[in-house]
Amino acid sequence: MSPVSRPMLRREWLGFAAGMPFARRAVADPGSGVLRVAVRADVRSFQPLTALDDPTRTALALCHAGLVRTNGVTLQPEPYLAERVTVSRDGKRISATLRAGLRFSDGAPLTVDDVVFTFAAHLDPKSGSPQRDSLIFGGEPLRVEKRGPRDLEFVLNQPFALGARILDGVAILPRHRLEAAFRDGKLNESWGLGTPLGELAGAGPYRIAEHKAGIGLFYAPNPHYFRPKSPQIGALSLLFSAGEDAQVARFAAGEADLVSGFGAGNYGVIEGYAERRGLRLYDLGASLDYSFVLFNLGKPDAAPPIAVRRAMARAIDRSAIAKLVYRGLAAPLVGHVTPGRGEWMNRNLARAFESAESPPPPKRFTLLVNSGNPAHMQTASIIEADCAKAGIPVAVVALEFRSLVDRVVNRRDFEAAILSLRSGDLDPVADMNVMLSSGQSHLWNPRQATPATAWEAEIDGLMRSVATTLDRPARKKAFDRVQAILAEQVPWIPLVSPHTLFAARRDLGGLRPSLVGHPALWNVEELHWLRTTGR
Amino acid sequence: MNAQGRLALLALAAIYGIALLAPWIVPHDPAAQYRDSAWSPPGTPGFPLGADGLGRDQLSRLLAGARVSLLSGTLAAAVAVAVGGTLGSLAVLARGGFSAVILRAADLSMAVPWTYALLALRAALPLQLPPERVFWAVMAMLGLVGWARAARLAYGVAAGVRDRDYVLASRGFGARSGYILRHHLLPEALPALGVHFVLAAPQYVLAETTLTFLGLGFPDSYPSWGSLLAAAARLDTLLGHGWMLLPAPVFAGVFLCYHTVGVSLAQRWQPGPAFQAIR
Repeated sequence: MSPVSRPMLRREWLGFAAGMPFARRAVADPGSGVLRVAVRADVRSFQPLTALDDPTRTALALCHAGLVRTNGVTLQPEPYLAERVTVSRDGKRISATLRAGLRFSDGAPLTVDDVVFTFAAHLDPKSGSPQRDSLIFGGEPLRVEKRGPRDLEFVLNQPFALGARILDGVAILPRHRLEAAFRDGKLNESWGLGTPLGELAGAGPYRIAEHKAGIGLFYAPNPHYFRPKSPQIGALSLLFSAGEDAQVARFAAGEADLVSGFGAGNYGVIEGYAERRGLRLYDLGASLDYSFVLFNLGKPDAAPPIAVRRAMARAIDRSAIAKLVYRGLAAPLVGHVTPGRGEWMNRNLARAFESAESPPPPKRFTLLVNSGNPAHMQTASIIEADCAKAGIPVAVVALEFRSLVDRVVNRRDFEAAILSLRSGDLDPVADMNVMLSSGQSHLWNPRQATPATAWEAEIDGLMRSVATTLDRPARKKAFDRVQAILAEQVPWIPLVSPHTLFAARRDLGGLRPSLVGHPALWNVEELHWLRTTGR
Repeated sequence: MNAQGRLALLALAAIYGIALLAPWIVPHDPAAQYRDSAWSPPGTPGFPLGADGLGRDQLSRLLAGARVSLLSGTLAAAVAVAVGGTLGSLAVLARGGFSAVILRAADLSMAVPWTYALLALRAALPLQLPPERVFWAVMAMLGLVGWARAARLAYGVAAGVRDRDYVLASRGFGARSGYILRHHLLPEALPALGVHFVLAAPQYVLAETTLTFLGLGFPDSYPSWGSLLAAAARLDTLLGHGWMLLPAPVFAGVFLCYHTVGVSLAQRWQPGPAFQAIR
């Protein structure tokens, strides 16, 4: 992919022949080559407004942009399509000024009207935007007001702790392309996979040039991207492979230049090829993902009693899970906040397990596990053995993933299950949907009209204060208390947090690995191929 | 049966004998985890065939798994052949509506994607099943799924006999349907069904792998050949711990023995068109 010019080869050869090989260094080779990324699944639609699954969100993030973007390294919000963003002292008003001369990939100007349209589309319940709830504050939707040809103000009913981060991840949509569908209440049906690609438009670094269903998504640079000389790589393709093993095999065979989302076992596989094939592995440490044993607290007597749950939490050897199942590429957890979110971790939780109480002799209960997830299957075997040693009989039942989700999420017909979740952000606000008793992802007893227990009511109050308090130490104190309550009540037992792993060719430059979002593509416009040259 | 067939039968008998004796001859509890010995290669003291990623002895799991998989596969094949053979022969005798119902049911059963049917069946079963019940459930399900092919085979062979002179004569002398079934139709169909059984049994053993994946099979701590294969089928295991595939030649040997016995039986009993089709 990185063409080496003939004169350079001659120069190296002459230097070598003279016994003085030139010192080699890598320099950027702008505008060259193709970046081929191995991904696990095809996109489900071209509409960023309704995108929910990871493959679709990753694919569409390459051709869309928001006013603000979170820097993957500093994890701080940075102006993106906006030239500057300021938050008022009371945290209720956010002012933004658009960059001058912004255009969508089809050449149409991007104006404040597009921004107003985008937020109206997200807030319309008919659009089916998954971000709608996060744009409602104290029961009132976010208001977007035009203040000038490039100036906007976002007005919140109550302060939001993350300030300008509210604008992150909201891709600005082209009003001229989608207004008709919005008026007809059919925005959620727009930009399906059958849409001619010429009808799509975004403000991101790339535009979709071709989609071959089940094979790949092929991008060309957006000629109207606001950053000069960007993106630096001439073309990009996402190549779909069914399953992690196929993805990794494709990468190791040289058919892809970048791969992410693989497990610890395949880290070793790539390591074996790294030297020969010029590959580099990246281990970013504990991710924002965490696995856990979930108990069904929504049905009386479905879950084992609290004393048994606590005894289980003490008995499970999480270090063994990290070492044996994840080959050391995972961090054992005490609470659900992973070391990847270090500053928000309550480091005094271990004491919650130091109880000497002996549980009543429990009845055998079932632990559901996804039969298609080898790591979870092995984890279940370790839990079964550890619990047996502690006198807690556990029957592991492996179910195909859809059956498991149906039982756990829809029918609520289970006692305990091994699942994984990913926090979307380092900040505790990302956990709102899991922690609030009314939240859809409040997995141990979801969608409660009013909190079923006093401790869940306390968590609700603490989480609301975490989201609306601007004082950081106060937020930390509240979130520490949330973690302590969870450790006491044991609605789940956090297990391990696998490391964020990805691999790329050594000559891919500009990588700034990130724990949030895609670990390598968040700054795709900065990626470039390096060519080796003499000094 | 030729010499090859006899040798294969002897080998199968020995393997089944070892499988039945497994609980008494395994060196370790197949579920016991020696976590410090994870991924021990074959030949490590105490682990002649190595240990898996959780430190479980592979030899113990192979032997204990043989008991589970071979017996459930064989019994399932026997159920399928018994149910299918009887229904197929009855369809020949009954003719008319009953025959049509059985044959259409067999066609329907062969057309149904059984993976989905089994998923639905699993949803209807209670979650918590002890391993012994799982064993019987697996056997019954595989048997129920496989009856149609045996029924079609029995029907094909028995229908060719139904109108032969000696059967018509028997009927003329007042023989009842049950008598004709027992003395004329089933004896004709049995050799074909026997060969079908021998050749189908390995497929039922392998089907257990799929059932385990669907959550219908045995838990991971209760070893079966399906779970041994599933553990070895991952890319990192194949490349990093290739010896985890050591049980595969054992499986292949068992299936080869079955095939040799099946072909040998087919040659011995009747090299007619039905057997040619099977071969």
